[in-house]
Amino acid sequence: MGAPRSNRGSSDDALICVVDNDQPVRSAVENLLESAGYTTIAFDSGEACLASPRRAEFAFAILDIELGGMHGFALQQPLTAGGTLLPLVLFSAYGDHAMARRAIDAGAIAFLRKPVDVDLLLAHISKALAAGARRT
Amino acid sequence: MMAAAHPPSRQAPTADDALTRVAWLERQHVAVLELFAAQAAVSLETARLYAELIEENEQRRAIEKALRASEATLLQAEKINHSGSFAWEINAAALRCSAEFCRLFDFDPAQSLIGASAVLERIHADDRERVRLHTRDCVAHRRPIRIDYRLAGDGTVRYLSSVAEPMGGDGEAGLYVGTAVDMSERRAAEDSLRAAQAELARVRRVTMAGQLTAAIVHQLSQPLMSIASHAGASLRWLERDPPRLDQLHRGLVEIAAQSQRAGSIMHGLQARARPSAPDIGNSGNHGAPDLSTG
Repeated sequence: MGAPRSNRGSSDDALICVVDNDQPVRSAVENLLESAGYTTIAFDSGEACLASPRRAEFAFAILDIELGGMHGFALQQPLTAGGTLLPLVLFSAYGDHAMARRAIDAGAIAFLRKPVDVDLLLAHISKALAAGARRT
Repeated sequence: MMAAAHPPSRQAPTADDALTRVAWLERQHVAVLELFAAQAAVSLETARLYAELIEENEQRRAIEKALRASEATLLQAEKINHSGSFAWEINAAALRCSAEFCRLFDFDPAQSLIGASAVLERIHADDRERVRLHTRDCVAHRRPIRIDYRLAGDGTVRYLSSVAEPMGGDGEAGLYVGTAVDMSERRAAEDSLRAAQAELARVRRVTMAGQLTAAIVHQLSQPLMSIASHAGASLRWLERDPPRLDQLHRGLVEIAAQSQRAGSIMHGLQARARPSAPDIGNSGNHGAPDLSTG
């Protein structure tokens, strides 16, 4: 990815996973994360994400709910299970209270509607990574 | 008769000739037999006439029975169909009516002759004049009558439809025969059918609007998401020291491209929303969303 390193925050090497089946969206979210100093890895499907050999390195995940094959909620379960406790946010074009409730109940940090507030998204990430850093 | 033409002679039996005697006796027998035969013929004729009479009576009874059965069937059919029949004698200004016609118009079913004005009086006040003028016009031109109208009952309104045609030759213009059918139930059924169809159309419109909204939301959210992300990124690249102008440039190019993508989606939706949109399934237009995608 060749992402430049940010001079703010202490999580420069954090690998952030982006899953969205829309290529321009993946590219844009990666650009945003890289501008904030993160390293990114993007997948166009939940299946590709789960098959990634770098899965253990993910520090954070951003998942679209409306994926082509495996649904975002279905991807959320294996990523948050197994003691890894991967912090993640789900986003969706639609979304109502019930969908947000479902995302939070399943362990997501936040449920965001597209187009997301990018400052809020980055705040969620830095907060989660800082908390993770405190735990380790 | 032959016996009368040759009366028996007292002298004849005195003849010795046995053969002559036998011949005479034979002649007598023939005369008696001929008498019997004639009487038998009369009796046979009488019996034949009597049998014909009985047969004729039976036929008449059978016809009467069939006629009664036919009339009963007709009355039953009229009752089931809520359809009454009438024969309108124009000059007498009276209608010979079936029992069902009387029931429909709220007359005593036993009444068979009803004045035309009494019938007209039963028709809803708002329809009465129209019916009167139309029938008068039809009768004047010997045209068939076809007219729908309402009957004013006690609180309820019934919808009837009548047809009648002039009967007989040109000289008998004074008779119209026709029917009056109660359409109220059919009308009520049609009303509820129309209401159900309207509701179905409304639900379909709402569903279509929902599907269209979902398609718009989904399709436009993607370029907007891209634009928001690139804008956020570009600001951060600009704030770098030194500013990363190459990345800023890349972000702005992407923002412009995604704005165009959003525009194409909107135009595609507009084209689809036009009533005369041709075969939207295979139009292959630029970026128009497929409603079936999730």
